[in-house]
Amino acid sequence: MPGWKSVRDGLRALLRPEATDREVEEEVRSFLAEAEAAEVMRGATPEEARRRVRLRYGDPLAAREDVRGSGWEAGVDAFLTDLRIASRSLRRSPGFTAVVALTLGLGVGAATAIVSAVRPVLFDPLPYPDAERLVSLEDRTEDGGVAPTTFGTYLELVERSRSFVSLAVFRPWQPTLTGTDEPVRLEGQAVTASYFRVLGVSPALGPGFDGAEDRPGGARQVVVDDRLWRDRLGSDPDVVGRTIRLDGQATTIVGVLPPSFENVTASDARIWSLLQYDPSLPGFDTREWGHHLGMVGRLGRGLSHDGAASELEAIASDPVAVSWGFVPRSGPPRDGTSRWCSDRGSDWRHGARPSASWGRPPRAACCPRCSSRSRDSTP
Amino acid sequence: MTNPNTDVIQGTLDMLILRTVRPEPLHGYGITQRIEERSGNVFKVNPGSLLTALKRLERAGLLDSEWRRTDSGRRAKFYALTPAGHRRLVAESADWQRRSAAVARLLGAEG
Repeated sequence: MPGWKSVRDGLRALLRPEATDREVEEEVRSFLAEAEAAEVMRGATPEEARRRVRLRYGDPLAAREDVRGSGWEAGVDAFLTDLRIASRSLRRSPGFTAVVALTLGLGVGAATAIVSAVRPVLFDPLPYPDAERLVSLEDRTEDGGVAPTTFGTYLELVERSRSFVSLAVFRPWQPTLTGTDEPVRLEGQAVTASYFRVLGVSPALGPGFDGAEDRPGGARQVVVDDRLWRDRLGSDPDVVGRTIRLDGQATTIVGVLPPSFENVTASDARIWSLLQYDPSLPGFDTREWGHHLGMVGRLGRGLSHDGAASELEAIASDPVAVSWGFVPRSGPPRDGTSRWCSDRGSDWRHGARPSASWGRPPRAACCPRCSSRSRDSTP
Repeated sequence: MTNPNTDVIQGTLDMLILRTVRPEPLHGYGITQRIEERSGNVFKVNPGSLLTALKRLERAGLLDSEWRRTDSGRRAKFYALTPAGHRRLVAESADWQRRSAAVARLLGAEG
C-alpha cells in the first residue's frame, strides 16, 4: 500500500535520521560518480570530468538537502526543530518564561473555573425527568421587577390554569432538630404537598407527603434528603414513621429522598415540611398573602412555554372571584409586601402580576410582560 | 554546450521519469542522461530534483528500488516501474498528449 509505505519511510527518516541521510548521501555520490565516469568515457581527464560535473549539476550538498527537505517527515522535523529552539530561548530568559507560564496558567484556570461554574446553570438540563416541562413562576411588579409570589396567586392558578398538570409553592424553613446528639439548625423548605410531584421525584424510602395533611392543623410531616438521613438519622432503613423533634414539636418522617436528588430551588435545603397554609383566606394581614413564596409548575405534556405565558397573562388580566371566596381587605398589607403594591392603599391593580419563567436560574423571569393582575379592589 | 538547458516543465518530471524507466531499471544518473539525450539536451535535470522525485514516486508505490552494481562495478540504486507506475504512466501520457495538442493548436492558430 503506497500510503503505508510513505508513513513507514517517513517514520524511519525521523527515528533513524543518520541511516536515511547516509543513504541519500550515497545515492548523490553514486549519481555524481556515474556522471564523472560518463565524462571520462567522452575523453575528459578525471579532474576535468569532476569540474564539468560540478559545473553542470551543482553542489552535491544542495542536492542532499533537497531530498532531505521533501516528504511529510520534513515538516515534522522542522516543527521539532522549532520546538527545540523555542525551549532553548525560553530557558535563556527564565523571567519572561515565568510571566508567560503564569499568564497562560491564570487564563486557562479562569476560563475553566468560569465554564465549570456557568455550565450547570446555563447549559445542563435540570436534574429532573422531563425537565423542559418545569417552569418557575413569579409575580411581576409594576416597574417590571420580579417578586416572590403569594399563596393567593398559587390558589388562583391551581383553580384556573389549564397549562400546568401540577403547581407547587415553597418558602425557606429552618427548623431546629433536637433529641439527637446535639441540637442542630437545619436548612429546609416548607412546601405544598405537590412539590416533589412537580419536580418528578419520588422518595427512595417512604410514601412522601400526604396531601390531606397540607392544611392548618394537619399532621406534622417531613421529608429528608439522603445526606441528613445518613448524618443525623443513622441511615436507619426503618426511619419512615419515626418521630423526631423539630422546633420542639413531634414530627413524623414520611420520606427519604434518593441520593441523586438535587434541589435547585434551594440547593442547601435538606428537610421539607408541609406549608399548611389556610386556603380559606383569612385576609390580607396574614402571612399567606405576603409575596414570599417561590412557585414551580409542571407543564402539561406537549404544551409550550409561550402558551403557558399567554394563559397566565389572560388569567392576570381577567380576575375572577374564584370559589374559595376571596374578599380582599382594604388598607396596605403588612410585613413589607407594600413594597410591591401601589401606595394608593387598596388599589391592587397596580400591584404585582404573576409571570412565568423557566430553566435555570429558577428566578429569572423571561415571559412577556403580563398585564395587570387585579382582584376586586372595592373597599 | 552552447544551447541553454531548460528545467523540465513543472509537473512533467514524474511522467518523464516513469517513461524513462519503463523499458528497463535505471539508476539516477542513467535517468538524467536519458532525459537529457532524448530531449536533445533541451531539458536539464539536476540531481536534487531528480532524487526528490524518485523518493516521492517510490513512496507512492509507482517505482521500486534496489541497490545493485553497475556495469562498471560501482554501487547504484536502480529504479524499476511497478504495475501501479505503469498504469499511472499510461494515464498521464494520454492526458499530456491531449493538453499539448490543444496548446499546439492554440499557438499555431491564425489571428
